[in-house]
Amino acid sequence: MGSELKRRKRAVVFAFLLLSLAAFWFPLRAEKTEVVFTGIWPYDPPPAGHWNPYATGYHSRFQPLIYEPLAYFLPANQTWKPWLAERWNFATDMKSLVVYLRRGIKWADGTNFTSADVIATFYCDYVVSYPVWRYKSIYAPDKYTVIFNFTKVWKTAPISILTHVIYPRTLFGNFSDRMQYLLSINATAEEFSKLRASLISYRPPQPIGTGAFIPISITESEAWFQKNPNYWRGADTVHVDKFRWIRQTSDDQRNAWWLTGEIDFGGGMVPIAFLKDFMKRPNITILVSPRPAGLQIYFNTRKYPLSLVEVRQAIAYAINRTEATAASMGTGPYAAGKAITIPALMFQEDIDSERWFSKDFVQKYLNSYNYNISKTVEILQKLGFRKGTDGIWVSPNGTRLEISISAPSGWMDCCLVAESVASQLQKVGIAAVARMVPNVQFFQDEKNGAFDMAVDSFSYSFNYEPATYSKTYVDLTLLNKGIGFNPVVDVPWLGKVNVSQCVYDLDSTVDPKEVNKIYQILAYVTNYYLPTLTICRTYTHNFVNHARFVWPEPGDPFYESYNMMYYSGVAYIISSGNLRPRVAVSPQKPQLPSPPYELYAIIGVLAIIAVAGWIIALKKTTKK
Amino acid sequence: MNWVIRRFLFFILTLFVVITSTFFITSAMPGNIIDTYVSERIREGFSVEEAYRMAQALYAINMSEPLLVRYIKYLKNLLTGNLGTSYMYSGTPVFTILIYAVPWTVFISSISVVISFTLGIIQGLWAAYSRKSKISTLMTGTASFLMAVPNYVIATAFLLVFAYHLGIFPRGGAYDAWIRPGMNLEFVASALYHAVLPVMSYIVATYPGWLLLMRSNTIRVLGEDYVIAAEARGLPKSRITYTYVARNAIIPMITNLAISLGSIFGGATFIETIFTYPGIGMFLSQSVGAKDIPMMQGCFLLITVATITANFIVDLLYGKIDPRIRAIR
Amino acid sequence: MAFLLHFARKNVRVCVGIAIVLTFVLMALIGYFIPNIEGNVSEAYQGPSSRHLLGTDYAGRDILLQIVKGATDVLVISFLIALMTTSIGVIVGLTSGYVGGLIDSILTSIMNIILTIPSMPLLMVIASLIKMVPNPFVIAGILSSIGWAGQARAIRSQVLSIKEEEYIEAARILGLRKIEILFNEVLVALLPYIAMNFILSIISAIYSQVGMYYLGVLPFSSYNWGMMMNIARSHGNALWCPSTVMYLVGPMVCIVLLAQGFTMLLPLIDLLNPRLREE
Repeated sequence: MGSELKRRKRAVVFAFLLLSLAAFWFPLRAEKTEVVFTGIWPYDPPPAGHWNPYATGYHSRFQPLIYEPLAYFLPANQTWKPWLAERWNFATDMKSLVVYLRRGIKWADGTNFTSADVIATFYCDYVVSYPVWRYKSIYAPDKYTVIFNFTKVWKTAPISILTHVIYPRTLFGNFSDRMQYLLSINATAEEFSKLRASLISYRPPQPIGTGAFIPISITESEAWFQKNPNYWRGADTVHVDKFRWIRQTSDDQRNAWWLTGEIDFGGGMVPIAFLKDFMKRPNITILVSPRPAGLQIYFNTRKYPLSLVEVRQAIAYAINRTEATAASMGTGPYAAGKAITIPALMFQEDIDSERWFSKDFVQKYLNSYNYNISKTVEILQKLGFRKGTDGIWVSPNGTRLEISISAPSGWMDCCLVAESVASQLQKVGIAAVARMVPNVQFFQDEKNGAFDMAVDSFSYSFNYEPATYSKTYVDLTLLNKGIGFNPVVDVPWLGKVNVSQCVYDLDSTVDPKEVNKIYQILAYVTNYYLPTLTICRTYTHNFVNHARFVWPEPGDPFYESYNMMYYSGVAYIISSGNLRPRVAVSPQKPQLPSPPYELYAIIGVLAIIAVAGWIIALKKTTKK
Repeated sequence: MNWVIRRFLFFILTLFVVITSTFFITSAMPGNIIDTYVSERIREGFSVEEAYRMAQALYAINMSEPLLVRYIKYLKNLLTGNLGTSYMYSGTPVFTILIYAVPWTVFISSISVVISFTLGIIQGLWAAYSRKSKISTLMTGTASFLMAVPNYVIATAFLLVFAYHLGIFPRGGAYDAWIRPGMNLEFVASALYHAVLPVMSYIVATYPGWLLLMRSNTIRVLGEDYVIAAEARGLPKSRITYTYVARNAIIPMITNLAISLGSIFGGATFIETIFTYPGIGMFLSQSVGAKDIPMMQGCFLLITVATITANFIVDLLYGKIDPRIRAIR
Repeated sequence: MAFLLHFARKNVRVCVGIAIVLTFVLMALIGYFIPNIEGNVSEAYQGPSSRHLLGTDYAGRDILLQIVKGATDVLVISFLIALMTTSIGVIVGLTSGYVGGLIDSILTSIMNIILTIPSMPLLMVIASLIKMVPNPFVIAGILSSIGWAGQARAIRSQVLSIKEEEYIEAARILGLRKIEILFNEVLVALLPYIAMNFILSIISAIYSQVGMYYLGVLPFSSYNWGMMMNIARSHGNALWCPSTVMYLVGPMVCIVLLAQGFTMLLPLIDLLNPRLREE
């Protein structure tokens, strides 16, 4: 390695540095006079991300900006906002729905929005879900009416149908036509498979929607959208000219962007420590939206001694749910979760509002399992358990009370709940350990019953009646080994009841009084027999940045929409014209992140030493 | 010649064994993608039925074929260059995703590995040479510090200091969003500009290892008789350093370099997540987390073939580099 | 006594290194006896204060205590992993490089296979089969069974070079047995390299054992340094919040000091090679 080589190498490095500096001088600012809304959220860049809603990898995050539903549903106050549909008629026997479409809506390519588009959308659903289909028929008597007939009573049909986003016939008409043709000739299963495969691999180059925005460019770092000049509500009702969507690839990168103050809306599961610092900034309002979801712990009722109801109840008394929630979700007004008072897979709001049963019922039949260690001791002792020499409870037939609490390792909040519960149980004399398992393995273990206690999410579902119980009593009881719960149980006011059958009955029961009766059974069984112990309800944090836009006041039902989590609420606010730019928008100086400077300074200094060392080394070795 | 043929046969054998093992290991992993998808939707608030319905509509995966049949199909497809269709992105061939992501990965990683290697061995050489001096101690200390710091801390430090506070370099991405990719100066310049920070953090995260290993190697070589003999002969210092010490110290490191070059295709996930850089690292870790079998197999195939080929080439070239071994062969 | 002082004055760095390593050994011993640490969850994620020198974690537990308590497991397991990986790597590398021939080809192929088999899926499969086994030897065994291949390859290439040195030839001519040559000449010459590899292995072992927690082989432990850093980064957002930064930096500083301490001990290895002894 002669000095000639050294010199050449140095020249290359120098040239490289020069070239990168040269890139500096290329102009790169967007139009200053345009109103740009900036958001940050993950998405898949092309070619993984694409514009076919019927295949995974679809740009579902961007959908609210481009496509629109027949109507918006705001669960906070259970109201509807007609959108692409003007009005509708849900039959009293709950077997059909008639939808009347709004006139004068145009797609982004100029064609009219008609019932043919609705037909195309729903038949494409059929292409991918074949042979499962809830509709006896869907047809359009004229260009602005669609009639849906269902095969059986479908209580939540309005929710499912009206919140469905509509795609254009221009893009998907071929597939729905072919589907209708295949159905009419009673084609073979193979033909349907082929059609499905072709739909799934279809890649429209651009989406064509009715919404307020049109995509301009999507790269792996940013996506840009511009206002739809032909928007049916009127382009001047939309006060945002361009939508800039930064791609979030990690929490760190997202935090850095948030801290610059350039992001107008953000959300997700924000760590509580970050919130505390972030919310001190001016112009930031933090919204805490309750999610229709929470955390629960499943018991494997097949495994002795968890198979005894009393043992499960004893364990429930030994778990301080408030503490477990606080460890994982933080405390204070911005906590990401609130502990459940009465574990029955019910939210406190519904219990307090007496939505399905009265306060008397609650008092008589539901137990709040307040944290009480002496009760645990009492129950275990009554069963014949004795504490061994190492302080661990031993059952009458000699088994130590050893439990492993599993949690999916990809969901840290579940893991921290598991750890907190484990240490609490250890204090009582139960040898409990928390164990993280990769997500894929966790869900498989859950189905196969390969766990003792498992911390998992539960959903309260987006429909206006929770289908919360089906995972517990159908998925993990009837359809899989799961928790191994015997669904035939004793209910004090009814005698023996099959609780899984109750969940099935919910689907077809129409009379509200009967529905309430079923919910009473479900709540009681969950609360008394404890196949699962409800821990907390989860919340998401969103924040709005008032620096550049005027947002609706706090408490506005827009905010309580679950959709806020995914920018569809933002799309709704912008599309409905409720978001205005602040007058006299002066470009804000980015507020820079304030991380541990010292740490980074040390690393920076050392990096400099490294390079300096290299230069010195080069010099010294070429000197002689 | 005999020896080359033997090596080549082992190369093919190794390749076959690894491809087969990868297939069976990835298939044996617990869980499946549909259950994961369903559970994630439940977490967001969808009911079980809705989630399953969405999953069934989206994922058209047929798992009923016996494993051996799938294996034979997989081998047949491989021979025709068909890497299968991803589960995570149904309908998108694995090949399409790789074709897009791999060039960026190779671009960043190859530059980083080469520079990191060069930096490390030059400094390691010199640190060993003057190991009693203060600056050598400082550099060795720096190296062992940086080696112990996790790579995401280093990358975040670079991101914050250079992209946010000083604003010299872009905050992320491979090129500016409004530039059309293509062989024009604007695009190339933008790509280079965006590559500086990822490359720099990769280098700072990896060069300490090279430095320290090279230093140890050089210390060994410095104790050799031929070095003392050369010094006694009065050869110029630079000649000794390069022809005698450096060459002999670097030779064993070439194997390590080969392994590094092979793992280039695995991507560096920490770079991709912190700098929003496209590459296979993110796809790879996503597919392992979701058990997207075709995607996993495609990515691992790349890494496997690259590593084994690199090792094979190094083995072949070893004779050229180290004349003493050539003599024996 | 005088000799020790003289030694200390001459080799300050080595003494500092010894002091650092001894501190960690002490930490590990103390940590073993620390009982379960209690925490008040309302004090979670507080910054450094007089009561909690490094602050508190997500459940309100003192971070410094957790670092000390976790030192035992971290150091023992990492040391075991590094020891197993290095010894297997050295043995296989020496054999393969020195013996050559068909054995070399076979061993090299095995090394290549193990190097290129995707380790994450393999570990996931192994973990799903063995469930939870908190035995440190088993953990070290699992991780070393994959990690030795890289080292073996590197050592093999070293041996290939050394094998042809004159003094080896001289030793062979002198009639020394292969084993003697291997140990007394080849191994001794390789010691600095092996020592450096050992230190690098310890550091990477500290980070890779965290994987065992995520795979469910080890029960969740909030005391493991790597685990603390991960939770700090994701749940506590330590890279951004001054109040939780110590949760990330505390364990990191320990790892850094450990690396420095061992690196400072390296000159001791040089003493073992007669060619490198100076003065």
